[in-house]
Amino acid sequence: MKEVPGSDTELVQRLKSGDEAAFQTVYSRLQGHVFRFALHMSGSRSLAEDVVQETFLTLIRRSDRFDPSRGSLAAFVLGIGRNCLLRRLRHDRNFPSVGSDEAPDVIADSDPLAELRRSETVRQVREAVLSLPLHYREVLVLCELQERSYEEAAELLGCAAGTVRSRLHRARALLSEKLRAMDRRDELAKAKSRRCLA
Amino acid sequence: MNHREVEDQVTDERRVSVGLASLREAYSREQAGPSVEEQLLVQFSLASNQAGRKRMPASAYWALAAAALLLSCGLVLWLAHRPVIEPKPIAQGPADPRSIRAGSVTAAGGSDRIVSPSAEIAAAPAPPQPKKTHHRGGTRPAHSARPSEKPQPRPFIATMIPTATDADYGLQLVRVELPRRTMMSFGLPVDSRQLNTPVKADLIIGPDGLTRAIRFVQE
Repeated sequence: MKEVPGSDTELVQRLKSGDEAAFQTVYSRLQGHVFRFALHMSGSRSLAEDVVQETFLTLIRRSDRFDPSRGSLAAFVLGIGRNCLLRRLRHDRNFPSVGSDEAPDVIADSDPLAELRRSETVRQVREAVLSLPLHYREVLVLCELQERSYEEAAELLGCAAGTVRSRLHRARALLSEKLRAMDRRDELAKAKSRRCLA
Repeated sequence: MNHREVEDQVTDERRVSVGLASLREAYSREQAGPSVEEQLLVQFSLASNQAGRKRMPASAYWALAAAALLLSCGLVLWLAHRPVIEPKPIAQGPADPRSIRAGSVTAAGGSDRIVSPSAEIAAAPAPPQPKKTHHRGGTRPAHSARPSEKPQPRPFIATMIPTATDADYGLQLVRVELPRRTMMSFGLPVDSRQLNTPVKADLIIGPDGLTRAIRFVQE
């Protein structure tokens, strides 16, 4: 695909005029962010793909609403994606069970045990993140998993940077508690299985 | 908070950080499937085509608006300069006998001075004829050919030859009521069922007291 250089405004102008290359450029730059945000938030790949589709359809139809003075195109698109996702989550109540086949395939490493341990960690953290309340989850996803600054997250969420910071702190504490609870649950399960075997 | 609790907290923090980093790394290459992009490209082309189609009618609307404006201007100009046939005032006889003074029979308009019954007869108005008139802007002149509610008098009919002294002594106009059958004497059609009903008539009386002319006002 041919990459179209240019600023956000120029890209949007070309997109409005029906330039397919400009659209492909915008899509290739931003679809990953939207997809991963939706995937971390929902835990569902199909829902994340739906959100990506809906987000870029909205961009095609409503690109005239982009105002470069209010933020970057990435923030604009991610804001659309967040709105789509929240609407879908409210509508579908689609909170899938964790540990399903939605987890990414882990590439086999030279140390299978370390790889197994890492996969288990990823599974546990993912489960814990998905069990967080929505407003803590989105702060954690944006700042920790998507490495956005407090200011960017605050702009996207429509709140103060201080609020983002405090929510993130609380989210990490909750995550830690949940991971400890998971450990205790796993130890109990292991003890039960040992008693059964004995 | 003792040393053990601090150690546990640091371990937990590290575990959260490591876990989040692992999760981030595990999902770092995740992307939407190629089918999403294909569908979006189709939608994008459709939207671009629709936008192109929408631009065409916009220019057509402008052209239609300009044409409508030109037509209205032309219509206004034509209405302002079209040839108009001015309605001519309909000649009327002395409809009101009170306006006629003794010795000088004058028509209501004051323009037709009758000096003799023959002159009066000559100046007597013809029965009103419907006249085609054009009116501009819907305004209608007050003296249009609209049928009057009052009965229109017929023309005077001479009853004798005027004498030379009529002009010197003047004439008098008298409104009288006569039996309708009188109209038959002047060759006018009368409904046989209304022979005994009265009809108004204007008589022009000469200085000698004889009738010079007659006209029937109401049939």
